[in-house]
Amino acid sequence: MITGVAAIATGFSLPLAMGMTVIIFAGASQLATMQLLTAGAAVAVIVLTASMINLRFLLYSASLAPHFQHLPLHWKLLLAYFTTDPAYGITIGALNEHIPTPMKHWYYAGAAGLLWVGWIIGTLTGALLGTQIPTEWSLDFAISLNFIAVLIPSIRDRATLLSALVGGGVAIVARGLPFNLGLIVGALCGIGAGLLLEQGQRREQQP
Amino acid sequence: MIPTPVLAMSEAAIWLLFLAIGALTLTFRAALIVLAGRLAIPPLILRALRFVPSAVLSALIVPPLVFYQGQLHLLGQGWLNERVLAGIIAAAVMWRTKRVLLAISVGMVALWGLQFLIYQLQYMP
Repeated sequence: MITGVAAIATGFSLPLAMGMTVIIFAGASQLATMQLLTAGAAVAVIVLTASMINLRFLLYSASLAPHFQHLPLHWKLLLAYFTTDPAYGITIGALNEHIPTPMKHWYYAGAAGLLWVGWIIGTLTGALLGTQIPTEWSLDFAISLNFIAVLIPSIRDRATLLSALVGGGVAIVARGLPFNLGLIVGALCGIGAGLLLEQGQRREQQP
Repeated sequence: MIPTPVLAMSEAAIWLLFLAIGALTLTFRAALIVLAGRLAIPPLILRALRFVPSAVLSALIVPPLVFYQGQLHLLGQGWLNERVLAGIIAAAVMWRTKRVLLAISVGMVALWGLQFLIYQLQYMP
């Protein structure tokens, strides 16, 4: 719903707002796209940032792959398109444990498809309500809060905490870079810092 | 009412932008499901992927929170930065409860409360 409100506030028409949700279908990267569009970032930076946020789907894809190995290509593509954080989170346990192989794609398509429908209805509601909401409510802040709500669960240990601190810190320092490149630089430094700490921890554990 | 902002790109260019992001996103989603077993991702890349959400999201969120009208306001210079404070409160709620809607609601209420408080302080007789 927040995505819909934000899309209208960004200046998108209703078809553009709904088209974005159907084509990209990933909340955080859609919000990032809109934030960067408003900030006048370069197209390459927008594509790079929005895609980077979605790189995590590679991990889900790797983990789902064995369950859908027997299916024809069109089924694989459909199920892949439906993949989101909640769809993966809700289904992976059952897929790994007790859903029989011939039922797996139906189970996943049912759960993830239902989430898809809910997400589309939510965006539409937000887009239709969007124009009615007064600016004084600072509803744009809900976008930042939404990012925070996604960020917090991604911080699971010291290495991910460090990657978040370095990512945010470097992004502040590098904010002056052209085309909003500071964001990419911050993110890469954060990933590097996390990897380095993890590397160090591994070395300590080895005798 | 929110005034309709002027977009820097044409509508056609924005559709193309969506298609580019959408194509890349579907590639990430589908790559290993489609190529199951035929594509091995180097272990370093797999390890780096774990840090992508925390690093990217943080780099994306933090600057617009702490920069207010082009000036750096970590917690406040003269006036406290109500957005940073409300953001910290929402982060704490999320950390303790893991409930997205609750965290967003508390954050919004905190922002409105702080805005009201700052307004009162500013115009105190």
